Formats: sequence, C-alpha cells, structure tokens
Amino acid sequence: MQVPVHRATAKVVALCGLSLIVAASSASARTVRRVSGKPVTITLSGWTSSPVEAQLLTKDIAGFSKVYPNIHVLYRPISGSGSTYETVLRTRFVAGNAPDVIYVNNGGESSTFMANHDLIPLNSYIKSSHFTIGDFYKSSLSLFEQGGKIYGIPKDQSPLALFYNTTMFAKAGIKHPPTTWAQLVTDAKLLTNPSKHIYGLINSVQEPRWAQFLSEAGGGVMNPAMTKFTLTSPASVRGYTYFVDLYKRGIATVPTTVGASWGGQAFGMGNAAMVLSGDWLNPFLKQTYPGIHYNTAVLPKGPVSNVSLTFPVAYGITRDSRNPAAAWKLISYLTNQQGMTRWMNLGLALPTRRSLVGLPYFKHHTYIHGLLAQLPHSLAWTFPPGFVQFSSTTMLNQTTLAIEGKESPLQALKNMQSGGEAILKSR
Amino acid sequence: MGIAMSLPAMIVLFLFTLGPAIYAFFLSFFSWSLLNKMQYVGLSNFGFIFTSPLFWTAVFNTASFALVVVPTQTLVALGIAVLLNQNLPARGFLRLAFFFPAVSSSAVISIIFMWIYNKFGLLNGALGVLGIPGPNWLANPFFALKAIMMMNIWTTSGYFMVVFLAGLQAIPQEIHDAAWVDGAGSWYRFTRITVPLLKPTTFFVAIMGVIGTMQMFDQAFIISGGTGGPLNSTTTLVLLIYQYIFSYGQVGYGAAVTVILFVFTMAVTLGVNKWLGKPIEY
Repeated sequence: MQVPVHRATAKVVALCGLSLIVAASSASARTVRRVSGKPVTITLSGWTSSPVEAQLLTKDIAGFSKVYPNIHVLYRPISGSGSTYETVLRTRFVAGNAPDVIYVNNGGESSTFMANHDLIPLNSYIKSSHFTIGDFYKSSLSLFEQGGKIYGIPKDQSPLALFYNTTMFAKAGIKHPPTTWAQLVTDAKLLTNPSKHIYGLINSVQEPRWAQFLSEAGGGVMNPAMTKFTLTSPASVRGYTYFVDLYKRGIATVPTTVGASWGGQAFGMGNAAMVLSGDWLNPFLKQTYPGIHYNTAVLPKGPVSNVSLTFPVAYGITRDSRNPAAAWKLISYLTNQQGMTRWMNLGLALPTRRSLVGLPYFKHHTYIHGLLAQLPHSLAWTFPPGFVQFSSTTMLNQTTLAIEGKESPLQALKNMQSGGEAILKSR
Repeated sequence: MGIAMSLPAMIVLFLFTLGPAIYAFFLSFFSWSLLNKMQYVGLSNFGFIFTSPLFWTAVFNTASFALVVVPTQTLVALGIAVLLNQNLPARGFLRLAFFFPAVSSSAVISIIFMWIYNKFGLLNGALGVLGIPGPNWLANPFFALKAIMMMNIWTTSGYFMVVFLAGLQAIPQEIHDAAWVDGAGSWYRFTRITVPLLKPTTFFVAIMGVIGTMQMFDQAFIISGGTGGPLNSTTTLVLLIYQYIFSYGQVGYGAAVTVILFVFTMAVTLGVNKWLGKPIEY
C-alpha cells in the first residue's frame, strides 16, 4: 500500500528512525548458503503505511516458514513513505547489500531501478513455476514491465476514489455523492463553510492528485509511449483548469489551510466534506478518527470519462540477492491466488488479481465498494527515469502558484511542459 | 611518540572527515547517479549549478538565514548572559531553562514547532488573543523561512549564552571596580569594558553561528518534509545538496554545491576573522 499524501509526517518519523534502521539492517547478518536443501536466509524490506501493515505481514511470513522450513525470512521494514524508503534503498544498492525482496513503488525511482537492472527479470521464474500471471490487471502489471521483462509482481493496489462525509451530506440535503464535474462543484459549494473551516474538497496539489482530471477530460500528463508531454493539449488544459478553479473558487483547499498535514487527516478532522484518496485512508480513519461517518464512491465523470489513477505496489528481487530462487518462492507465496486472498482478507488494500474482486470480505465492507467500482476505470502510470525532482517539486510548485492565482492554469501547464520536455531531451 | 599518540584520532579524522571532504571535491567533476557508472564531465556540473535558479534561491535563503540569525542570536545570547550574570533569584534554574534547547534533539524541537506554527497552533492562538490574525506560517512562502529563523534563534541562543557567561566571568572584576571608582555608569561600563573584552568570545560565537547557519539542514528538512517548500522558500544549500545526491540521484551537482558552500563558508570565516579575530590590547 502506498500513502503518497502522508509524506510530511512520515518523513519526520523516517528521519528519526533513519539512522537506527540503517544501522539495524546493515547489522542483520545474512547467513547465506547456496547449497540447495540447506537452510537459506532471505531479507524482505518495504515501507510500512502503518504499524498494522508490519504486524500483518509478519504474520503472513510466519505462515511461509511453515511451508518452507528451509527458507528463513528476515522482515526488515524501512520506516517512512515511498520516497524516503527509496532514498534508503538507493544507498543499500550502492553498498551492494540490498535486501533480497523489496517493495517496488508505483512512482518515484521504480523506473530507474528497472532501467539500471537493480531488479532482476522474473519471467523465467514465472514460467517455470506456472504462476498465473494472466490473472493480474494489465494496468498494474505493466507498471513493472520494461521491454517485455517483468520486474515486479503487483501485490496490491488502490485507486483514488471519492471519500465523502455522510453526516455532512445529509445535513446539506445532498442525497447522492456527485457523479459529474458540475455536480461536484454544486455540492462542494453547498458544503463549504469557511467560517467553520469546512471545505467541500481538501487535497494537496501534487501531480498524483490532479493528473486524473486531465485524463477525465481526454488528456494526460504524457502520451502513452512516454515520448512527449501532453500537458498543453486542449483536453489537458480543460481538465487542469477545472481542478485549479475548484481551489480558486474557494470550494476546495489544501490541507494546511485547516491545520492538517494531508487530505485524509483533514477529512478525519471533519474539515473536509470530500477527499480524493485510496484505500490506505480506511485503516487510518478507523484508528485515528473512528467517529467519522463516511462512504466511498467512484470519481465524478468529466467530459470524457471518470477514469482515476491507481497505485499498485509490487514485490521485486534485487540484483544483490544471492538466493533469487528462494526469494521467488516467497513472492509467489505472497502473491499467488491463495496468498493474495489472505492479504486481501486483512483489509489493507485492493487486489491486483482480477479474480479476487468478488471476495466476500469486500462485500461485507461497504466503504470499500466505491474503491472497488473505481478499479476497472483506473490507470497506473509513472514517469520515465530522471523525473523525481520534476514530479516532486516542479509540478507541485507550479500548481501551488496556479491555485493561488499567481499564475494562470495555462501558464503553469506551459512551464511544466517546457520543464518536462527539457528533461526528456537531456536524457 | 607524539605522532603515535595522535594517530588514532588522525585516522578517524581522515576516514570520516577529511577523506569524505576530499572525495566530495573529486565527485564534483563527475556525473553519477549512485547506481550507474561514474563519468568525468569536467566543470560542467559547476556550469549547471551556476545557471540553475534553484541554486541561487538556495544561496539567497541561506544567506538571509545567516544574516538574520547570526546577529540576532549573538545579541540575544549576550543580553541573556549579562542578565544571568547578575545576582538574580533562581539564576541556576533560568540558566538551565535557556540552555535546555541546546541539548534537545533538533528533530524533536522541529516537530514541536510544527505544532506551534500550525494554522491553529499555539502561536496563532496567542496572536488571536491580541487580535492579530496569524498567517499560515509553514505553508506561506513568505513566512516559512522566517518561522525557521525564529525557531533556530530560540534553539541556539541558549548555547551561546553559556559561552558568553564563561567569557563574562573571565573579565577581571578589578577593571569594573576601577571604572566604577572613576564614576563610570553601568551602561558605560558595559559598552566600554564588557563588550570590548568579550571580543574573543564574540568572535567564537560569530564564527560558530556563521558555520552553523550556513549548514542548516535538519530543521528545513523536517519542517518542509524534505521538499524545501513551500515554493522552495526553505531550500537551503545543504538541503539542496541532500536532495541532489540522495533524492534526485545527481551526485555531481550535489558535490559541486558542496564545494561552492565550502568556498563561501571559508570566505565568510576569513572575513569575520579579519574583523573580529585580532588579539585584544588592554
């Protein structure tokens, strides 16, 4: 699971824990024995969206040790969000002691890790173990594919969907969540009450929170072949302008306006009537804001579609692994039909296998329905290597200027377009 | 024998301080992402850095940070030290209270200040009582760096206060007594005796302040979540170095900024040395 918005706090925690973790993980002696049949030890590292995820994964791995008593798995989570995690991982790659199995993120450095062959292709393992790769959503699998080679098996995902506060909706006399862009504006207007610090929609303005508006208008950040940026196409301009206007009209705002650090927190605090988020918000609300009444719905439809972004996370094997065969056994155990069913029943994320969408667990939890319904209408994409600074800083800054009215939406898009094109050319 | 005794310290110094410093100079001539092969690129990293607006933003931020923080913290520290050098009640407690931030973790302090600076935090609450609408300190590019400046002054003044206290106690009492007998008032004695005789201490405080502020990283990193935001307003030179090397995988750019920062710091230190570093003549 990814928590893309929760970065500010996660990074603080990460910084405090960083030195400790680096020390701890490098000290974890890996007694690797190559002779088959003899016990081997493999390390698994990922970030954790919450302590719950670490607990649940530890439990799942304990089951693996029973099936494969000769493979000892050391689970060494790296605290912090996806990007902090990748920073730590990078240093581990340099030192040549990356963990055997890692979480591969849906953005950030994943394309770099694949391009640099820091991950090994899994095709031969998939073939020899008759792993049912055809069951996976193409959109999530393709994120971890390069040149016909598969570098990661998507373990779970979550699309962005609309979370709405049912109490506020009832009070405002709104019966259904908005289904069109126009309705979203009308509803948000009704729900906004700045004197009480309540806004229709609260989301921070980084690219993974607005790119879907471009797609819903028929545009996109880049063309599918990723050879050029399409930010200034008429459709993209239309989608982006709609997004920016929500903020300029005062019916949407950024989390800090209400003293929150991310949209999900603002929603939990009761300052946001709606927030665009993924499934990771559900356990957070349950733990931190159990009093909030809410539900989920598919995104409101734009001029072309109601397509959303989805964020799959994969397991990959690093080039430093001395036991890729054992590592594959672990990945296969965690992500095969039964493995993913177990993981789904723990309630942290949505499946990347099409066959698991109908699990009884999902039927019994109504707040997941909106997310599940969004799943078939969602796309996964990431920048090619070399765009971390562009996506994390340039796009955020330009959009901040746009929503504050210091720059027109078109100007912001033009600046992003030229910045992105310049990086593409220099590569 | 002397060399043998200092050898362990020299080895540590070379391995963990001098060695990496020299390596940074070396890296500034290469293009490297940490994960690929190094490639010699001559001076082009410096060319990129000097034409990069982000670098100049970081220079501006770091320079304004140093220019505000160093004089303010020096004056505040001196003021508190002079006050606490008197026979005040609860002097020990007050000294401890002012020194406390210096021994606290800056990560913890930053997190506490993030709550204080929250839109609905302690500071805006206090301002609200006075009828002043407080800004959104950390989300507003105009205020974010200033908020960090205030926090930094609060954190470091206590440490420099202790340094000044030591300096104050090294000033011979008979000079004060002689001046008092000659009829010098307390302000006159402060400006004509205390301040000049504190010059070696002030020199130390100024140098340490300059070096500390030019290397400010942790507070900006934590408060901006590592981004240097909002709108690059808290991007300092060292944060930029971190971002280039570890976040963006452009080690050469980061190393080039490191070299430039070294030259800046060296120049400023030499300048301060020329101004304040002369021996005192009684």
